[in-house]
Amino acid sequence: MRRMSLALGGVLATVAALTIGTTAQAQETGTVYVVHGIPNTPVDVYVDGQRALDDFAPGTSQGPLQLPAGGHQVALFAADAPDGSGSPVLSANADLPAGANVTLVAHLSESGQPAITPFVNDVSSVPAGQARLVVRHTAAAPAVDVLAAGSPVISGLTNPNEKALEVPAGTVPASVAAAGTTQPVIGPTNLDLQEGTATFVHAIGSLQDSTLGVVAITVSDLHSAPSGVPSGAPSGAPYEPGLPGWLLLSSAAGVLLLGLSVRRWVHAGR
Amino acid sequence: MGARRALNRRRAGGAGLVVGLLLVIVPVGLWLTGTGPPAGTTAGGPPASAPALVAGAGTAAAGAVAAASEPGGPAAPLRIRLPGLGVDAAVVPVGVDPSGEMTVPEEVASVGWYRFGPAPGAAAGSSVLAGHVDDRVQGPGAFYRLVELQAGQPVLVTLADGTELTFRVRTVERIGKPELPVQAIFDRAGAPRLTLITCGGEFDRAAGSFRDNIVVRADPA
Repeated sequence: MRRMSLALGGVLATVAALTIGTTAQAQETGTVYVVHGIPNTPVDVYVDGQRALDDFAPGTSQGPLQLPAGGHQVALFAADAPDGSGSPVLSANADLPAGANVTLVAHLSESGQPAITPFVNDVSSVPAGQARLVVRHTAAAPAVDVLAAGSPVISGLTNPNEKALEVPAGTVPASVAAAGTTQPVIGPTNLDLQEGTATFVHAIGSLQDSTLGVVAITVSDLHSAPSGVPSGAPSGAPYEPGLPGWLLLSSAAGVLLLGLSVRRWVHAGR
Repeated sequence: MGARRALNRRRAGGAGLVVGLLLVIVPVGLWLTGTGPPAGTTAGGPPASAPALVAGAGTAAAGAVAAASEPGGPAAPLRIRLPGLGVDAAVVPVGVDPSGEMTVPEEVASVGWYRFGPAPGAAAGSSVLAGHVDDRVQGPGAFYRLVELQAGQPVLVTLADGTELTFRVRTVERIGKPELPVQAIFDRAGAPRLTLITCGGEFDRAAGSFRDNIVVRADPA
């Protein structure tokens, strides 16, 4: 279910969805993001025969769009094409389940052929203090490793697949290298992974053409509450009002020494 | 010979007297002025728990940077004052410990602000400040008498940019830890409010923790 048969993102939907979304019919729609990962090819996106996105630029994303659940036909035409007729650059039929959250990625296959791949977005809540990082390999390149601060955190990721991590929130210097190597082909770049968010990073472009890049989409408000507040005694035992033991002990030693000294003093004086 | 020996003995006796006096006066003085010995120098607490808590404090320090760079929202809180209880304590940003609970500063005299949630003064949600109630080694904490707060009493919070915010206590509750309503306490939406938390109720010696939390809700004045 990670890869659905195909979902669709687009056009007329934007308007229609806004209306539907506000009439408490959320279960009758799905959420769609679109990513354009084919270099040098601006496109117009048509959904069910209507133009949804005009001049959708490579290396960018659009969304979230609320679309009616059900089957949709999505087609990408060269951006200068006069209308949605003729033969598209790419087309696909997508079934969008009610309540689903998907990203449609127009990208190059490992061998460099244009393709549309749908991914299901994991937008479930993230543990307190954590952030989710999802890396998707949608570039014309062989298997890669993802490195965080120079160490591999994802190994052997291939086109068109994804891997997810949950990491402590913070800024992570990340890079992508050919599998088994550490020389970056993308990055290093600082990823700001805020607490309670999911960041979907798409590697796009072509290694051979030196057009590799990334498109990132962040979904917020996925935070969870901490499980409790351990505000008791940090040493494991509570405060005991009155004279603390260490003080009593030290004072007792002082009194003893005082007594002995006075006795010696008096004796020596004789 | 006898005279010299007597003199030496007098000197030794005098030194003992001074040391003895110091041993009595200094600790009593320290106790009266409320300054305990540095944490960890006595046999009071189980040392095993110290490293983890120190690590937590480190996380909190790192968080200060993130909190300060948060765009748009209010500045991070620096101090909290509870005039009704004579409390004036430092506030430090904290996050989550490895067990998924809110980190509470190891130093019981200071209070932690849950930096992933709203800051005091944010437009919406519950801003959470928590402090240890007390400790055998360190003595009473900043929130030692939190349970004594009364509805209507002021809570003053100073932010890093110098802004001073005033809240009024609305409710003071003692809640068993298993029933702590964490969803509501750490809610990032809804009416803007301040939530103060410490521990209370019976101390469970086997578990090494209190059974309850004291939860104070305060609303913007």
